[in-house]
Amino acid sequence: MSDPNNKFLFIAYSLVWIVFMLYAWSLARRQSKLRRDLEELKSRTALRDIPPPREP
Amino acid sequence: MTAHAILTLAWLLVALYMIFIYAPSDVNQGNVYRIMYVHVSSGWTAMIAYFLVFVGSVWYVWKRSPFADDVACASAEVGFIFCSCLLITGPLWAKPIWGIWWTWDARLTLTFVLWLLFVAYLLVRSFFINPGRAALLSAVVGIIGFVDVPIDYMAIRWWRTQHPQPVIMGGPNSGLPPSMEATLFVSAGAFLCLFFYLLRQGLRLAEARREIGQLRRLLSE
Repeated sequence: MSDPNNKFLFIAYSLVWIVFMLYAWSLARRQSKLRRDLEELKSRTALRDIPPPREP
Repeated sequence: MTAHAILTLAWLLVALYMIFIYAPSDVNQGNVYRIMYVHVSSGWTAMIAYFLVFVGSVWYVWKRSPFADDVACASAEVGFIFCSCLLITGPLWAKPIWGIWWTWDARLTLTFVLWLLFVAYLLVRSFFINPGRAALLSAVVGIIGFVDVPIDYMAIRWWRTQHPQPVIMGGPNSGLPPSMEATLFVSAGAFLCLFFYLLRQGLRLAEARREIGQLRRLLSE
């Protein structure tokens, strides 16, 4: 005979799973954005180090 | 996938097996008591998280170490997640057992205060644009707010509460059957492993933000 309280067990574990998945997604999104920003800034600092063209 | 990630995943899988297969049903509560494993594990982890917020905050105020600030901030963010899980699973266990979703007894109230302290720490950080001021003021929250943690932990020992008395290191006639106790410790270990994995990810984010800040300052010169 199924226990009517099992739905609370299912909901609890489902919500915990959802919370952690959402947080993991948030972390991954922020890491991705920071990585892109870092690469862009590194390329801009590298460009500044390029010597100016020689005069004719 | 890093070794830490693999260890965390494996530990969580073992914990899930023990929670749903190994641990027996409770004579009085049936299967719904299995919420205990994620509820108690979240609670212990949340308190450890705030302890790290406290340690990082003290260290920052004393030494103005950027790494200490990163530890405090990352611990607060991850601790907020675990404390939220604690407050979600508690009422879902309480309703079928007590017949009520919530009551303002000492343990539940102080745990809600702990959650608010995590929120306050994160809000203070985001409110101030100046990073030094944000770090210092949030450290104050981290230090003063830590008072809540030991009182929250001891609340069910010091006062008569709606919340059950402790099952680990409680008085005489307390405790769990060995299989349940083992499952609880494995679950708690898995959650702690997950906490430290997420904490490390948070520290990597902080390190990247610091490097970006340095590059931006370099470009603006």
